[in-house]
Amino acid sequence: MTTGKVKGIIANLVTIAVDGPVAQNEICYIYVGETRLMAEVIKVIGANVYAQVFESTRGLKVGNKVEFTGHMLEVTLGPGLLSRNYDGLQNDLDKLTGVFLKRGEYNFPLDQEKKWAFTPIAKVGDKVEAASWLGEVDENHQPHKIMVPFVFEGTYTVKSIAKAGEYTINEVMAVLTDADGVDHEVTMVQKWPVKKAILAYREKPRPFKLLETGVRTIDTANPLCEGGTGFIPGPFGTGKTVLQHAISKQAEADIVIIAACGERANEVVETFTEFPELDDPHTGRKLMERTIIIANTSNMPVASREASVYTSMTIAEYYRSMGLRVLLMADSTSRWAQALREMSNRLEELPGQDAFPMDLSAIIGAFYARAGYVYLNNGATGSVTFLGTVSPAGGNLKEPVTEGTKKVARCFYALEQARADRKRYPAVNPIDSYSKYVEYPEFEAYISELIDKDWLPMVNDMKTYLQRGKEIQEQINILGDDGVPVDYHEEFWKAEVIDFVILQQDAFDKIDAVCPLERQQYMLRLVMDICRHDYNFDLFTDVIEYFKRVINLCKQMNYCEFKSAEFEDYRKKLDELLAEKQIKK
Amino acid sequence: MAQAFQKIYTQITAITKATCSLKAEGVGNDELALVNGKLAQVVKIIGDEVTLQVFQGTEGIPTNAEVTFLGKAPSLKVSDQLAGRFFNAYGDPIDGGPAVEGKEIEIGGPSVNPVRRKQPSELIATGIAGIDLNNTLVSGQKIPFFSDPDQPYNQVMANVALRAEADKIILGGMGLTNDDYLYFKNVFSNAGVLDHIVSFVNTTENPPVERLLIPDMALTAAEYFAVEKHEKVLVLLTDMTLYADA
Repeated sequence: MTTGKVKGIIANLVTIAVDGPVAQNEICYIYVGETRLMAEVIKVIGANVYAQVFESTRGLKVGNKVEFTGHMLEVTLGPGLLSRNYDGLQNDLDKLTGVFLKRGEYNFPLDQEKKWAFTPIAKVGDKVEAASWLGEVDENHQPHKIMVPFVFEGTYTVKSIAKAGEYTINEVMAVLTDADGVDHEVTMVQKWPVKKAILAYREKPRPFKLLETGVRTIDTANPLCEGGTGFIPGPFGTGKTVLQHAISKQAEADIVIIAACGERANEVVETFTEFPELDDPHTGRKLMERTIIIANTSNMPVASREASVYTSMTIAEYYRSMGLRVLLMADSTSRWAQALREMSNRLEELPGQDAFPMDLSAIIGAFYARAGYVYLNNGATGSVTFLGTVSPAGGNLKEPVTEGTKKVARCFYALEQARADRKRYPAVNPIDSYSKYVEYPEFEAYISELIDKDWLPMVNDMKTYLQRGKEIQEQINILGDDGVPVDYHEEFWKAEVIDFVILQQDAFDKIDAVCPLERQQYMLRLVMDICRHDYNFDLFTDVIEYFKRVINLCKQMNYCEFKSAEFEDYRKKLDELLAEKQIKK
Repeated sequence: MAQAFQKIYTQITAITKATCSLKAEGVGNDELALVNGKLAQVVKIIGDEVTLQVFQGTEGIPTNAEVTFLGKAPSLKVSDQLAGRFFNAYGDPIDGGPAVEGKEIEIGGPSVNPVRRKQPSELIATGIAGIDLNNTLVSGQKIPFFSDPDQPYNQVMANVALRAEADKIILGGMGLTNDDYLYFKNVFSNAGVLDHIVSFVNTTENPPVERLLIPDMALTAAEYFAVEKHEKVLVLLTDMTLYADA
């Protein structure tokens, strides 16, 4: 193995003189007394290697010994990842001792003692390749496939496979013979470098399947697709965290991975304490059973922020290869970009806009591209849906991280301060937000099949009403209530009905928090029917009073069990009210 | 603070406004040093060239200044004796009292493991209606105060410190004017609450770079009381703008 000696130190950037070959992004360990600090090679010039240390370099001296490992930053993949809390380098936070994080303390991320009930899938004599399913263990009620390690190249023949039974992760589960007749042993565990995408699938089509989240402003107005990408810019106090929690709780995903990258520790703690308590609405079990949390909070070392987003993405891809639907939420990518900027500046690279590295948008682009819906080699499907948040400095959406993200993410949920201040939650601006998926013919075909042909035109119609309502509001603000025709008030209040009934949703109400697609469809039809009618008013004050009653009844319906007696009762009252003023077509 | 047989360097190769560089060996990153008696910290090492950040500024440092390395990172002696005292950015008393005895802890130490944290839920009553009712302060939480320079934010802070039901209150004053420092001191002594207040103060008379140490000093003391003594600690830092300026 190559070794080296420390030559220079600037904060967490260390220059090392090496005596042998090193690779870019190779991992090395720097000795400070007895402790070993993990570092990653980020630049090589002659015999000088620049490495970013993932921890504090306090006390590090020139001449200290460095050992290179010969591999890039890797994650350990195997059964037992679910419901764990990891740091950015995949150390199990629960296994670490003491209140404080000790420098240089690393541990093995999986449980090596636990026995898993294994059922073979492949048979002796089968031809297999990387990511082929050999068997299955039950991990928190998820079918966790034991796969041919992703690093295997070419085709192999199964020579032997373990019988159904209980095994630990390190036992040999299968022996594979390669084309040259050499035998390879396969256990339940494999390693994969985080910066490389796992490409063991046949095809990656454009996302077309709706990912139901139960949040009306997302599913109805700007749908997110399975395998899609989206981002939420979150100014302070706009309910970003509540929205994210709602999505991670309700989304139709098998696995949820939360990467808390540079977030405030107290928010992460909220996830740590809440998730084990919450019930999964789909299975009734605890939410934590299908969740993995990768936490690199704002007070933890900056350098491992980058590692944390890649680690979470790699774990997501690993579960996707098993044919599962994975939802990955990263909060927030801006803090990751800040870490990139810090390193870039220390390396004295040519700075781009706002001193971010020149290739920032390429880095963000490459990362978002790892998400997606895939057909695996055996025909099964899996997906990684990625939802990132950005926290633009000063709410400026023109800064490089937001711009770079906008280019690659297909959905955009514009959380808005003004909306939050008016207590209209979720504070997603319906006009600024978009989902590019509604333009995909594949998606159109899928949604027509799933709901109805008139669904997308109806949603577009709804957006037109909202847009019109906004314009009229501006005119009323200028001309005054009695300066515009009564029709204008009617139009404005129709937009308000849409806003209050469809877009706003109470995340703290048991029933309203989750709105299944069937119910969304029912409500949208109801509301659009209200909007498409003309009404008979003489005074604008009547308009306001009347529509407030309409809104109230619709909201009551939102709070009732779908199609319950109470629900139908409100519907009846609403119909009576509408009959009063509606002009029959 | 120099000890016997310690190597003294006298060849400074470069001096800037806040840093100086010299050739030295066996120096650790973040280590403290004395440059002609002025405290400095290692910020950069390239080969045998070490760059030191001199907290008091480099005014008057000659190229033949005597430099000794102390072999340790900035640290604070913590014990119950801290209570009721005023310290400067280095943790030395400035209220004329004796030096504090206790365990020496490096400041800016490791961070808390997030899974060992608890969700903040317990109210810290400050007795100010505008805070308690509308935007409650909760133990374990952090809240910024935003203020214009002409607003009486230091008075509000002093009020919070006086009324809050916490076992210990750590005040980190960065860039306070001398008058403000004396104001805090008077208010606390008059109210008779000095015994549960620890203050780290850097006034405008002190060099600004020293301010960089204040939050770490204050938080080290806070962590000591919170983790080892299991007390409720409220940390007040004023003001972060002047910290960022440094």
